[in-house]
Amino acid sequence: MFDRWFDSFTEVATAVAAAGVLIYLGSEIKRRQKKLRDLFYVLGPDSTIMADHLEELARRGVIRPYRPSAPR
Amino acid sequence: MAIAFENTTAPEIASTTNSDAEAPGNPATVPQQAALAPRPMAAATDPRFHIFVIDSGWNCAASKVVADHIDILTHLNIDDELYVLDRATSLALLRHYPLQVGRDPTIAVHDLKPRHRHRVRHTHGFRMHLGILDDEHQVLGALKMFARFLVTHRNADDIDQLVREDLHRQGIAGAIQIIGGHEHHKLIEA
Repeated sequence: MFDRWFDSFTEVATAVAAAGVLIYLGSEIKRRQKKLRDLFYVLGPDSTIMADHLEELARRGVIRPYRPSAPR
Repeated sequence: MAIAFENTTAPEIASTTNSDAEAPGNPATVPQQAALAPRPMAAATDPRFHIFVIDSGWNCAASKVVADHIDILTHLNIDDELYVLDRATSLALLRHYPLQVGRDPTIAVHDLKPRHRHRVRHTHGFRMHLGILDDEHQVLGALKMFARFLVTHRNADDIDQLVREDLHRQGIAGAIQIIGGHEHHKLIEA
């Protein structure tokens, strides 16, 4: 009786632990991917105004191309 | 949209000086130049990207790293145009885009030859928000990753998709790299 109960208990405990590890890994991957998405933000329709603004500044000559010093 | 800019000054522009060693006719440099000549695939000299560096000076560590390596970025992307906004211009710009405040230094890359997927056309490319990183090593790591990405994928067809695959690490392979990859680990953790 105790053996059967113990077997089912260890099975359940293993399953719960495995599920916990998977959930942790999933949330950790999600968190890191979110940080990467924030760091490298892909421009979409909502970014058009700022992008156009920068292009307009360049077109009007308010900002000019950077000229570096020659590499040594 | 007419937007007035206060105190806009031209970005610091260092004059490009061609030393004697770089003169095209110098015989000592000819074999070197031949060896370093770009392969036909990368020979397109018309700009593919406009790169803008916006920095209001919030994050001193990130600002220092960007300022120290801006020349390298320019030399690596010699065919593209890089614009460095000075502090006053950056501040004037950020006043119009409050959501971007505190995320700079920002490097915005605009794709001049985008692949439009939708009927509504918009500027394609990506922005790198270095201000969200905590220390110099992370910023330098991100900058290296950025430079490598731009040089590698300069002739790519769809840069947006590549950013998602290569930098965001989407999908199962990306997830494995995120967990195990040393470079991404350094960038995200700290």
